[in-house]
Amino acid sequence: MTKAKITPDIACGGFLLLAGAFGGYFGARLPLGTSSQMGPGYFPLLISGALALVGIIILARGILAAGPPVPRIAVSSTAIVVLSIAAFALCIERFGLAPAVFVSVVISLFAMRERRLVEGLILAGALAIAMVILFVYLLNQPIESFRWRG
Amino acid sequence: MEAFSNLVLGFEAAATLTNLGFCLAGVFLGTLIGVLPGIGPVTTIALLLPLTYSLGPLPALIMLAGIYYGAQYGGSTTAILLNIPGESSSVVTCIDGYQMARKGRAGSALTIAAFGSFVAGSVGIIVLSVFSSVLAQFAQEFRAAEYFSLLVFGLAAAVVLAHGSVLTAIGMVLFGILLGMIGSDLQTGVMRYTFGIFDLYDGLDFVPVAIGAFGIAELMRNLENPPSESQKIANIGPLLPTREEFRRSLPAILRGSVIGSILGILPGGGAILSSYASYVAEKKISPNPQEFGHGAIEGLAGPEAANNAGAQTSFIPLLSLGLPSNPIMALMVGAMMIQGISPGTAIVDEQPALFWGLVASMWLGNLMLVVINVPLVGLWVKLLQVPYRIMFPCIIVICCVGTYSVASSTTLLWIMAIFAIGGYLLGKMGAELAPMLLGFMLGPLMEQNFRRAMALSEGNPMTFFTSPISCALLLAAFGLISLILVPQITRGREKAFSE
Repeated sequence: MTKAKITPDIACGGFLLLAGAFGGYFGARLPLGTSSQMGPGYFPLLISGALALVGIIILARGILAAGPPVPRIAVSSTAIVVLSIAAFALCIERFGLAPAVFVSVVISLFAMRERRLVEGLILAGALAIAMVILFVYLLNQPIESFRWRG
Repeated sequence: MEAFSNLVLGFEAAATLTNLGFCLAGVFLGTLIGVLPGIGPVTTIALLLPLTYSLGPLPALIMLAGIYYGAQYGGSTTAILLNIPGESSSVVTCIDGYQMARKGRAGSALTIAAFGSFVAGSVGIIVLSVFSSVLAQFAQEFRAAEYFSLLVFGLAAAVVLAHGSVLTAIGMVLFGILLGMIGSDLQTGVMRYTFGIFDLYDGLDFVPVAIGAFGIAELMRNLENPPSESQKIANIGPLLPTREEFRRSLPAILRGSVIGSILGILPGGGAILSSYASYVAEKKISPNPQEFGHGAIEGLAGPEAANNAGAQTSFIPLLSLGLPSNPIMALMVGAMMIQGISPGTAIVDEQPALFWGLVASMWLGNLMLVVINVPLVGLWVKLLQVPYRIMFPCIIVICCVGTYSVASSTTLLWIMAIFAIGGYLLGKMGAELAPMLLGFMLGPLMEQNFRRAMALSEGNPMTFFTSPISCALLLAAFGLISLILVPQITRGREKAFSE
């Protein structure tokens, strides 16, 4: 029974190693300069090297030591939060603040198990109005509250 | 006496109507978010930062600081009443505070917590006043090499005091530093890690990074197990503590103040560490340790005092050395930079109105908190009844609008989302985000000083060791880390031997 188990250490070590490798690869392509006149690539390369080293050690520790696997990741609720943010980002410049808030809230409602649609729509509307009042009128931010396309 | 005239100067600056208003706004908002689970001082301060641009340095810092130590007060209220820690520094308060509430002594617990926090805050502020000038004077001699080593030491201390694996924390610091390299290199103007994305040319903005990695990631974690509907809150009981309770709590408060003042200064310290340490100390010292966990007043008074003292003194490294000791202080660095102030050793001397005004405002803020908190308990309780399913869309939306409004740019939102996912996943991998944020904020500074030191020494790395201060700091950093790592390694070797 040797189903590959990913422990937190393996995941973390792997991630840090990848980050270090990535940083090192692109850092090395920058001018390095000398130690007395350090170019833009010098320090990033140092840091990336250290990062990769730490990553390898943690990875090794993860492989050698037994341990519990990574805790369960709540994919659906996390994805919905991201979608909610994405919807806001896509709507705000095309449709303005109020619609963006409204859409964003409606999407986020799906992250909870209980579905209270009417309450959710009221909340979305209320928040849309509240955000417009707060940010556009009270705080004078340069955001359009409502925008008709075309 | 110089200190006295400085304090007078400070109070004059802090007691203007505008600054008092911002102080009140800050502590009120701080208490509010401290009470509400799911949103904390890091997210709130990060959100408000861009809006403080037009305020001027002193009002901005007064308000943001108020949010930080106000949150400590707010967190205690939920901890006592509902056994829910509003802030991570309030976890300890839950233990005995909630037990007191169950015995009908909630009002007394709240009063002692507020009073203890005020005393501790005052002590912390005195320590802040005395130490900052001393440290700042000492640090005036710092050159690039010393400053670099100081930053290394600060990061090392933050790593050592973090939860979980030290090695992982080191990795996160390094990762944060690397993230700080994104953008145009300050000295040569060359683009690094931007891949042609225009919005990255000035580097990653720390506001979406902080909000994403701390605020939204926390939200994602909460959504796994949404906080259940809040229970009925027991009768609060009389607000005034009995003479016995007061008598027992006073020494605990004083001890907590001292513990908090000291631990707050350490990088990575601050409110959380102070409250834990105080609880452990009180339990050890107590003649009735078995009472702890069942409503021992010392177990409430000590940690409450400690966390507030720690919150005040955690400003010391920032104001005297320009070294942020925790993520919130890192955000304060951001606030100062937005105002065009570069934090460093010169602030105490060159901006006395700013420094002493801030110190004075902290005392005024603590006073305001004692006055408004106990009567407003009813309001906080009502707020807690708001179910999470209503709270979390509010949080998402506020974060989105706030982040977007930093520069009217949707790129910030994508950055926030990426760091939210990253923060959530990294949390699952046992990584801490606080070291990453510190590394991110301090990385560019480290690089600058490293470069300058090496340029001055013409490429000789021994320059970091020839200077006594720099050498001492680096050795201390190395020593701290070994102290924690070595037991882990030897334990591993023992395990290997026993097999």
